[in-house]
Amino acid sequence: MQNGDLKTIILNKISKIKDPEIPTITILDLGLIYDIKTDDERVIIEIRKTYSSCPALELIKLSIENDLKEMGITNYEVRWIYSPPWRSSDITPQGRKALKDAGICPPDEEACPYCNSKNVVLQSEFGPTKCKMIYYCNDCKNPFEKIR
Amino acid sequence: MELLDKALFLSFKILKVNELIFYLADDDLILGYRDCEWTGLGPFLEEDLALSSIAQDEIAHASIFYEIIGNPDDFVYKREPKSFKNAYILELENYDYIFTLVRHLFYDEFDYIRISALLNSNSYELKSRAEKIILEENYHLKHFRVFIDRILKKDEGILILKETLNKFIFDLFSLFEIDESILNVYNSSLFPISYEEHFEKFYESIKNQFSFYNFPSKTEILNYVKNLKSSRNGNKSEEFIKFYMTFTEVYRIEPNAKW
Repeated sequence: MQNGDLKTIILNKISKIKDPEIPTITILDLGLIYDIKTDDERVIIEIRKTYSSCPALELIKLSIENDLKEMGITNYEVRWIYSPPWRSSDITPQGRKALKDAGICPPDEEACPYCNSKNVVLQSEFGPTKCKMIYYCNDCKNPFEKIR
Repeated sequence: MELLDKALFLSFKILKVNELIFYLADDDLILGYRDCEWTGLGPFLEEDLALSSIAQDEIAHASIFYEIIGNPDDFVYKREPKSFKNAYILELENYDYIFTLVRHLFYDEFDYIRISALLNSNSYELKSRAEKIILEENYHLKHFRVFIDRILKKDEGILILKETLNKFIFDLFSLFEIDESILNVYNSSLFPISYEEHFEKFYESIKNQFSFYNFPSKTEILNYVKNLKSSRNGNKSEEFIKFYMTFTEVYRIEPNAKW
């Protein structure tokens, strides 16, 4: 098998893994998969952390390792990389849509995910998970979360 | 690990990578654990969430530094109290919320300068982590600066801040306590900043933040910290020992357990 093919097959497989905390979005759409390196002997998958303390990260790493094992790949390393750091702008357009579907405002917007109103106010830069802030919609009176 | 780093870290004995990692990570770890003690007890819900979140970050930062040289759990649970290089002020009990805020702002200003210096490190392992950490530390700094600024808007706020500063001013500067191992890590290609420059930048930003306060002079503080033989020198307070027994308690029940 050509290395290029193997890369595509691996990418196709692992890109279906969902974020354990936001199950509408995949790790590919979140922008976490940075690179897949293959040679004759070894597969190296480089992934990035959204926030360094996010507790879902170990689970994501484990899911990737399980996928590789399932594909019969035994010589692999799933490695965290810190540079360039992940930024919320790495979320794909499809990812932004998936966030909205889950009632979460994407990073590049400032609108209520329920009623689309722009009459919203930031309540706290720190939310229930590392990657989210808390907003309040003055029109539909709902609190909502927005990706940092 | 990157090849260049392997070569760099081989000169270990001269540059003392371990000492640098402990200097960076132990502070994060100890303050992160202290912050955790506020979870569920914060002054209002949003602040409770914010400080818990910041605590989580600090502990994660410690962890990603430790992982450069080994298994983070080993460094947290299997070391003797005296080998922790943390500053004295960070191991103290939380006392009250004003103290917590002031201590945190002092620490974040101190740490921000260290992390910024690591952005110019010639070690990929340190530099790449610094790039990640600095983005998160920006949030911390902003949070504590804004909070303190709001307290400063009322006379009563100025009074209580003054009280806390009066009580802890020299202890707060224990961040700059040094021993030989710490002094050796400054001014190296791994950590390209001098102790004096670190202090200078810190002093200016803190004075700027607490402009109402009459700080002791630089000379006075430097004289104090250079003669200090406290926590960074392995002389742990009773408060640290009690705290250490708490954060290692579960580990000590069954050291070989897999979690």
